[in-house]
Amino acid sequence: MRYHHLHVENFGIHRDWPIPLAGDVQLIYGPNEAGKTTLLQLLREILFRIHPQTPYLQCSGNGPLAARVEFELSDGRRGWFRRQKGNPDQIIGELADGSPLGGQTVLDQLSGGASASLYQNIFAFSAEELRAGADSLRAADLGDALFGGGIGGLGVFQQVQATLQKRMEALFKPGKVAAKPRINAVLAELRAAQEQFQQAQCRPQAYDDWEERRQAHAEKISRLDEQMEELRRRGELLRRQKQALQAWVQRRGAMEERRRIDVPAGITRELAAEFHALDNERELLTQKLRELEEKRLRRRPVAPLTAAESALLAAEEEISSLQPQLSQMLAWSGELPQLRSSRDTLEQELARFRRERPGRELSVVTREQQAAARRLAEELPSLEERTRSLKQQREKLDARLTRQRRKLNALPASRSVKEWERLAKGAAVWQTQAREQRDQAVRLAEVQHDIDNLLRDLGSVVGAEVDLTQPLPLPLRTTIETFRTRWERQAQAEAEAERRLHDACEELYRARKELAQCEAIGPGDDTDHVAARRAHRDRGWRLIQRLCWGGDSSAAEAPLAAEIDAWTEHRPDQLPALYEAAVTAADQAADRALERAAWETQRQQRLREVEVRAARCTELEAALAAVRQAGGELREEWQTLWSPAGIRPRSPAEMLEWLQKREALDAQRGKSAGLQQSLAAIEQERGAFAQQLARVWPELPLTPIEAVVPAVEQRAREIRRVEEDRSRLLAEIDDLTTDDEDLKRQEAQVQTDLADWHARLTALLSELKLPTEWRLDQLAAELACLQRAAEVQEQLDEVARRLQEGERRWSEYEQEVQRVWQSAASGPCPRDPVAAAEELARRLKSARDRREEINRDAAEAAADEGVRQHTAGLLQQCEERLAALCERLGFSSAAALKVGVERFETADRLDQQIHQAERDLGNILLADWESHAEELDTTTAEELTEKLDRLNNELDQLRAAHAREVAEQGKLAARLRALAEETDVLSRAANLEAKRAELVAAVHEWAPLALTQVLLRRAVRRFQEERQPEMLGEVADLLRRITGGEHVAIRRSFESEHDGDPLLVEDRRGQPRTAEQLSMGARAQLYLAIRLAFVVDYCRRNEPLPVVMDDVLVHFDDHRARRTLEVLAEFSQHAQVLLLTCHRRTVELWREVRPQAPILDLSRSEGDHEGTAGRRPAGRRKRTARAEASRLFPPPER
Amino acid sequence: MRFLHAADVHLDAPLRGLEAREGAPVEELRTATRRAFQHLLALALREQVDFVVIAGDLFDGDYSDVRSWAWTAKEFQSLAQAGIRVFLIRGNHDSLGGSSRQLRWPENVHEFRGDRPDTRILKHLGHLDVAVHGQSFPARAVTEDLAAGYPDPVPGAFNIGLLHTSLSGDAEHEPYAPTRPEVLKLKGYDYWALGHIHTLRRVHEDGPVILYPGCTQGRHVHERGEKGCVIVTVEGRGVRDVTFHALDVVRWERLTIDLGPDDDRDALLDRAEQRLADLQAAAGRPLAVRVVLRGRYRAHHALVVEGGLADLRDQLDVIAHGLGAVWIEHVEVRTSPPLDLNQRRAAEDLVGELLRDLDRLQSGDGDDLAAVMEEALGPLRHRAGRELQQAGLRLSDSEVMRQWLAQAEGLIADAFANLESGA
Repeated sequence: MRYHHLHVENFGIHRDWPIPLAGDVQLIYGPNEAGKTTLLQLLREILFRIHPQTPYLQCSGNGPLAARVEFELSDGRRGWFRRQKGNPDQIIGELADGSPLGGQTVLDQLSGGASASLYQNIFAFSAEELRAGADSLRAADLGDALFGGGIGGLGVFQQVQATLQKRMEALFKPGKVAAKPRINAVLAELRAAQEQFQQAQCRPQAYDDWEERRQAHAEKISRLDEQMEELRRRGELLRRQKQALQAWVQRRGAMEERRRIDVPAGITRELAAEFHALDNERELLTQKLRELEEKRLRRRPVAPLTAAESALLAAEEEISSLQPQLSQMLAWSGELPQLRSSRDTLEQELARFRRERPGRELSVVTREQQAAARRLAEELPSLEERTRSLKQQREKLDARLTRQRRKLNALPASRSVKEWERLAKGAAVWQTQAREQRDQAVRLAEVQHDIDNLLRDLGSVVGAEVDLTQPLPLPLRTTIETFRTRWERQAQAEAEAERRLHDACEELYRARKELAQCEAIGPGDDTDHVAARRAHRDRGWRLIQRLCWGGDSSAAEAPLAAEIDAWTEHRPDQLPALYEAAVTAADQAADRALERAAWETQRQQRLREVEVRAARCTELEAALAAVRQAGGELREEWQTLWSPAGIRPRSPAEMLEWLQKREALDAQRGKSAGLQQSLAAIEQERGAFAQQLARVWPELPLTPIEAVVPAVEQRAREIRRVEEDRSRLLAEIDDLTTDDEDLKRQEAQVQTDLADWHARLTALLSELKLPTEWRLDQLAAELACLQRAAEVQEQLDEVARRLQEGERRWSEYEQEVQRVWQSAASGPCPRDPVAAAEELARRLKSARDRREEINRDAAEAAADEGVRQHTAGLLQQCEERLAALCERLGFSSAAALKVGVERFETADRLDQQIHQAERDLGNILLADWESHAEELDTTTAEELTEKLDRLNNELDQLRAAHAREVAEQGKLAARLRALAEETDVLSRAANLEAKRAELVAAVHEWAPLALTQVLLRRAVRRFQEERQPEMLGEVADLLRRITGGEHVAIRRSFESEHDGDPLLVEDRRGQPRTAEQLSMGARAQLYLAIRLAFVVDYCRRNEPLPVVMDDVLVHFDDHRARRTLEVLAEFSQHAQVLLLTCHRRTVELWREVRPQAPILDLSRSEGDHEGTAGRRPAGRRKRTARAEASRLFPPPER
Repeated sequence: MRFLHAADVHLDAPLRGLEAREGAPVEELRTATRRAFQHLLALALREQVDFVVIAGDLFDGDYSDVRSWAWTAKEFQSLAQAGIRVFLIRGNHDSLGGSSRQLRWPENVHEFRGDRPDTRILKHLGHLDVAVHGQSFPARAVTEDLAAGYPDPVPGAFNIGLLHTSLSGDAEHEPYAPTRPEVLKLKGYDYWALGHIHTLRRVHEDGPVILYPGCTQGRHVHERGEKGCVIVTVEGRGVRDVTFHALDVVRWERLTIDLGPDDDRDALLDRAEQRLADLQAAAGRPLAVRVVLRGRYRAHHALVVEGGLADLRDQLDVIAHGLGAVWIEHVEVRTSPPLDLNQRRAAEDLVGELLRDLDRLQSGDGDDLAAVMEEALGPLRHRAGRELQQAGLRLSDSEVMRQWLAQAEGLIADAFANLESGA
């Protein structure tokens, strides 16, 4: 960028000051206070930002600070921009092609992306910045920019590195650290979790141990079961003996008693029973005779029947014949008064009826007459309802007809509906077309935007130099896809080869590490220790064996006890524990010995494994090299494929994507053309319709479009609605007229039906001889009265007939009762025949009871006598049979026989007792009970109880041992069963996994940070190696030219003592000096050379920016100042140079270097400048005020 | 005749990365593999299959805890009561060469031996004899082709080969008992019941059917999607139907959210909630989700440096909690700052050089990349190489390296941008 013209509108002391800046180099001369520093500041800020607190605002008065620049870019484009101070600054401007300069961003792009700080310190500087030396270069964000040129310090770069390193070290640090970073801490936790997990595992060996112990317990339980069964058997025997002992003693006593009884001969159990039966029978018969005699003596005689009782019994049949009629007579006695009452009531009602109709005969109304009257009554409501309904219909119809006719008359005259409907439809289409037109225009813009994007995307891949709108000799898609496949395969093959090699290296590393670990362990030798442990264990085992199962005699117990004491150190109770410990120790020792025996085998295996892994690594390295060579060939082939199209291709996948986008570009271009055609057609159609609408409805405005269609549609709707209403009303009036005719027909029919009904009523009244003027209700009332009178007469006749019948029968019954009373009963007869009949019946019943009692007493006396005689006979027979039995058995009397029978029965009872005892013994002691005779005879119940107690104690002990064993076995079995449900190890495993996940997450966070460190270091190395010599060479060359060859070389020191300023300058004698060791002028020349070198380097890659220098030659001698001006004149081919000075000597030197170059003199008035047009600063004369302002608001420190 | 084919049950393997999540049903997660196995047994009973084949890695086998076996033996009893037999082989995880001993299975379970292949014949299953051939892994690392040594098919029977293998060419899995599909086809069996690959994969559809059913329960985010087993229906000598049945208790999914420079936190959360709800509805069971954030994100710096990730994580947890049985396993940040990296990359300054260096590394200079990785990760490898390997993280994994390089690029660009902006 080069400035052609600068117009200071208002800045510091300058107002409305146009400054033409012609050529590549512009010297601007002005004495002190002429405004050079203000101009320098303006040039520093105009590209970036006017400082918000700039002191020039106050110097400039109230107006805004503003300036305008006309410029030319390195590519030849020209333009202008204007900056006005604000928050943010206002920037306007445009390029020569008319494109607007929209804000700071565009300006930054045009100016190459340099920052304000960079520009102020490198491009626009004064002698002060040169004097500040390296400090000025380190200011702001220059560090990395200068470092990029191989000159400056690390700057931002070091800050970034430090920031990232800090974050990285918060995650992981190798080696032992006090405060553990996250990964270190997680690693420690992970290892602890791993150990816990290992400890929580239940190994199969442990399972086997438990299972073996469970089986041992099961065997022991089995043995205990057998012992307990034996004890139970013995206990059962003792219990039976104890139980049988009582029966045995009873048997023994019964046998002894039996031996003492002498039983008479001939008596059998049957004879004894016969004797007892006869004896009992005799006793019973004797007793019964005694009771019958006592009863006969207690009996009293019953009195005979009286005469009255006999008379009643004689007339028994007649009295009984009165009873069936008794209930009928009782019914009549209740009904006759009611009948008489009903008769009176009916007669009164009939009399009242006749009184009410004097002179009129109570004729009978026939059934037909009644039916005719009923029909007349039924028809009347229907006729009345029809008449009423027709009347209402008539009223409604007339009203509706009138209303509709009025509406029809009120409608306006009809118009052309179809024409307006066509217009409405056309307007809708017209509006739709307008919308479609807008949509298509939007779509067209979108398509065009897509085309632009696609062109940009496609160009970014293949380069802007390829014309993508023209056909290109591109490879076929299938060819590219083939390449893509090959490419991917190649990449996979390379990745796979690398991975395999990497894995193989890792495996080799692990194998070596394992070998080292194995060798570090060493073989060891515990053979003697193991042997001693085992001997110790075996001795314990022997002792226990002898103690528990050895069956030693008492003579051998003493040495055994002594040996146990010796082995257990006089703690024989510790024998099991010591033995268990000995067994465990011996087993552990044996295990260790086995492990160590396997060590050598493992070592050999690992040695072999290391050799195999090393060989595999070598093999895989060769394979990887081969794969990479194939990859190179593939890439060359790929480049060749695209060379006809002049494209340097990217990867096949990207190029396939590119190809797809190119096809999309063609499609979008086709779409764009179609849209344009469609838009033209729509425009034509819309124009035609607009003309038609204007003809039909001239006063209708055609904009806005949205209002046209509703207006036309509204008009069409209104006309259509009127016509519809007219048609509807006419149709309704027609319908109503038809209804009117129907209604008239119905009214005539109702009139006819009414006349017929009245004729029939008159005829019926005449027939019944009633006045013909009567109404139907009067007729109905009369008919009801006549009907009721006929019914009352009929009821009266029936009551009279029944009353007569009842009185006749009552009289007959009364006569019959009196007759029977006279013949059978004494005393006066009651007047009420019913009471008399009941009294006769009661007396007859009493006579009957008396007769029954007399007959029963006589029968009982006869029966008792018969029984007594029969019992006496039986007693005699019994005595005879008893005498015969005594005689047959040889006893003299029944008493002697009785004694003999009793002795026989005692012996028989004892025999039965003995037999029962033997049966009990058999039940208790089973069949061989006799084998227990000796024991039962020699033992007692107490002895047996004592034996049983001892046995039970023994059994209890076994039972306890058994329970213990069962409990132990149960615990082990439960433990084994519970294994299936235990998930404790799962939680440990889960914890371990959680730690692993935590570690992985932390590593994912740490690894990119670690990579950044390496990448930053690589970048530093690369810059040091590639950029530094070139940049430093430029500086040295410039310095040599400025100093006239005094200083010939410059290099960067990486030694620690030069950290502050790492540059070393060598003079022509090769003597190196630091910048601090140079003179003030030489140091200023060094830093000027550095800046110019940087600007040259910058301009090679970015848009060149004007370089502004304010009295930078102040410390230079004439020779070096002249050479510097020569360098600057030459330098101006890279960037525009604006040189400000207040020294006449500089102007003179410049005239010598560039005699024709224009000079801008700020000390002259307007138009005095050589070759320029300008004017002195407007505020020049206000020096006092400005000086005061400067004092109050000093310029910012640089 | 129908049989159930499962593999890689990995009983008692923990689910990675969920334990530490607040509100996670710890017990359910710990026993997820067991419950998936119970689903398998229930399926066999419900579908009334004739027998079950398990093609290796029934146990996870990282440890030889006898409790797993005790529980499994108890569970197999349910099949014994229904008369369903089980044929299983050991895989690389539960190989016979490990510390696992020879297990005493119930009567209905047959475990194939490890020293040589063996055959078991089932007579008259639906008018068909079935011959099951198999061989357990004698040791963890079996490098020879076991299938080649399998016996010839039994004539007239339906022959099933039970094999735990990594078919050649599969770079994602350890190459154990490697073989080729051609070898399996030439063997003359009717069905090859394979195990080792944790995803349902139909290697060959017909004559013979060669199939991996996948694992029964995903254990980490790399085992995403539905997991289960297949039920094979055989008619005559041919396979009529192979039906997959999902058994997993907790399903793993990965939710990638692409963010733009204009997206704010609310947009991110809304998108995450909607997508999580969709995933949950599709899965129909508890869900473990890894959320991956990508793209140029305005709040990238706040996310990766200023503790924003923890806040975001909390908010995502709240959303997941609101949805029910959904847990966020991990939030992976792959965003980059909303910078024009192409412009920075083109600049002739240090950052540009650094970014170009990253491009070179990512585009495949293998030697250089390996050197960079070794320089960066070497200290960690020496300190925790074994633990990382056990945790399933391979520092040499090319995908992981690419991911870290991309993250490093974002970190560098973000750090420079942040310093330049004066933050």
